[in-house]
Amino acid sequence: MTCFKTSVGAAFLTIWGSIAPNILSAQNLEWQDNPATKSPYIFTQQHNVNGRDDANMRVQLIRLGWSLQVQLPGNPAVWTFDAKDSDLIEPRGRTMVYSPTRIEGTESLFVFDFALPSTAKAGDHGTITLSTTELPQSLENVMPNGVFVVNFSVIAAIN
Amino acid sequence: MHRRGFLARAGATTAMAFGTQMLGVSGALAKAGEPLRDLPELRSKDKYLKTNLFIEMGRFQVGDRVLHLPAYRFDHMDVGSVPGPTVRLKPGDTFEWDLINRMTPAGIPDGASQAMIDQFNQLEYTNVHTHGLQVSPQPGSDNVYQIQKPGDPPAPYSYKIPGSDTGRAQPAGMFWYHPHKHGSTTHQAWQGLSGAIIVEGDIDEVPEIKTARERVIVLNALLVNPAGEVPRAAVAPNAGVSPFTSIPSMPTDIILTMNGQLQPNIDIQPGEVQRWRMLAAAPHRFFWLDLEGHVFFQIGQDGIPFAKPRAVKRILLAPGNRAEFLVKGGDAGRYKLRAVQYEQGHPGGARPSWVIGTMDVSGPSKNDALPAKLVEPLKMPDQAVVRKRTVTFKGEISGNTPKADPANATSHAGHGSHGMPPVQFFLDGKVFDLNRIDQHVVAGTIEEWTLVNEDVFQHPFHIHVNPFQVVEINGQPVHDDTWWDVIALPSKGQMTVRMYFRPDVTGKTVYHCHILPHEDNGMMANMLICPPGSDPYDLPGDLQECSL
Repeated sequence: MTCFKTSVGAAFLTIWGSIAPNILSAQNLEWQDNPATKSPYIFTQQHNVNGRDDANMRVQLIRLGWSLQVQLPGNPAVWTFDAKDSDLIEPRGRTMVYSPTRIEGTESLFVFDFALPSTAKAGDHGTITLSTTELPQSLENVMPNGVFVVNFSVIAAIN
Repeated sequence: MHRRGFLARAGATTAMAFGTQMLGVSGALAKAGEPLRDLPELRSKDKYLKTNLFIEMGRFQVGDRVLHLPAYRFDHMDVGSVPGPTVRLKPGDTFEWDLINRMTPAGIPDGASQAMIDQFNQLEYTNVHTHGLQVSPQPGSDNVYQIQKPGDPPAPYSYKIPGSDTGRAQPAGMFWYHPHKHGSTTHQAWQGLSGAIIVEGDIDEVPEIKTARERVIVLNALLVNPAGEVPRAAVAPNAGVSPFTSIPSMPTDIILTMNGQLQPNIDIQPGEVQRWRMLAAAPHRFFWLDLEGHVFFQIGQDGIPFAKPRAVKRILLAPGNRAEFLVKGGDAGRYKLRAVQYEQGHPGGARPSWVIGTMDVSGPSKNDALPAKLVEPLKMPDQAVVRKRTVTFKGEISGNTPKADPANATSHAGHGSHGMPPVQFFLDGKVFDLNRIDQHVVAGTIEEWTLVNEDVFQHPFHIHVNPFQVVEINGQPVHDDTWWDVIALPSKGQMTVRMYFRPDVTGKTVYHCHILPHEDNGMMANMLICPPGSDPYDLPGDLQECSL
């Protein structure tokens, strides 16, 4: 429970650069893997890298065994999962929750659940892509052309 | 147990506080369903109190989770407490502490580069605000512009609590302390950094209250990753039980606690009257309190007592609010204390209902009396309103809007070079600027401010030093003598408040939204309280003086 880890995965160093040694002990507390409270990695429009010139610096690390979720404002815009532009990700379901008058031109949030495939292993890379053809003006800078992308690399469950 | 009886059993105030803190170690190791703990405390003596206020990292078990958090500690305590220890003062006291910041980075995202780690160093910068105390905001006192970095020399703070000699003593009630460094207030509130300040006075002498068991209860919301640490990153709102995600993302949970415990039990006898002082120290979550089968007999709001108790079924606490009330135990049984579902405008709809504790009514029956009257209430001086102003609240959560000026206003939030912050919040179309005076006011005068909310979010308006009364909601008169220092604005509506700037407190301070992710992302402004008799109303906003 109080164990500190100091190992650093290879993908970690390759993608994100070196780590200050004095931070390591604070950085690598073990994650408590309680199935009853296991939450997903959640991504919103603010995580989108499509159209960003720093996209290659924003590769998300995902620990093996943890699920993912994307939440995007829509209605009337409808977001769909683009399998052909995605990789190493399995869609698990889609819901739409009421969220009126938060973001102009949208009435709901589209919520997509994903999981890594059972074959995924540390060091693998993947992409989630979603798109819409009816993007409201209020989102055209943060998700240009109505395309949302998150790139990720898989790391070990215990880092 | 009666408060004074409890103290007597402990032997002395400091001994009690020390003893409680030792218990507090095990109290902090609380599982769900354990007895609600009393927080450690320190009381003034001979009109004076002095301590160090340490912030140190510790591990705290909440339910089945072990959390790694910074915690407040006073000199006499061996370890820190989440939430922090309680301070007990009286009007006329001088209260001093030296803030010592020993925070270390925690909650760093997997793979964070050194540049990203450095970018968020500000999340360990801090200071301390005495929320609701009508004390000087100037340097050396309740100065929210202070910046205390980890390892800095101790920062001294000294407060003169207004006594009766001022003609307007500090009301007797519950106030609190918490970090107020712009940019890190949310992060540190999610870490639980908060504590109660109790000012004792006239209402404590009401016989039915004097004999009642007192409970000081701090409500926190701890946003933690699977390591039990608050994400050290920018955040963005999302739907779901846990209301925020980080950038880069990491899984998060939100844990609502009472005195740092998950769903504790509060024991009371049938017919017993207890006095509960409740503080909403969470940075974002509203607590709409409901106690099964019981009503609350509210005796004060935001530290200011009422003339007589008000029986209410539910009490709404916006972030920063306090409510003090009496509870009379009903028939033997167990009753859930809930923060019921509440629509505060967050993406994805209402915040869900939570059981935050259970009241366990058992033991011999009593029939304690409830007071019929309390104290002479604080009055608004009989003076004309000298100035009316309008302040407009507007937020932007799409992440679609270019960064507002000043360029560094929200740089702490990790917006990088992309130029579009995840969220931005505006007062009168502007984000916070340390160097701009947004309002010049004059001590000893009365003003009315109309607070226009253009959002669905119920921005809770908070102003430092002086409390206020509500006179209109959506242009319709309100006949209510309640004093507030935080009040939730109606969504897409407006509220007019009247405030008296006490004549003996001047200086630069702030007003802001007390949803702290809004404040940290711009929704705060500066106010300069000028000395009585000055005429600063036509001065430019960049003039940090009260005259040319």
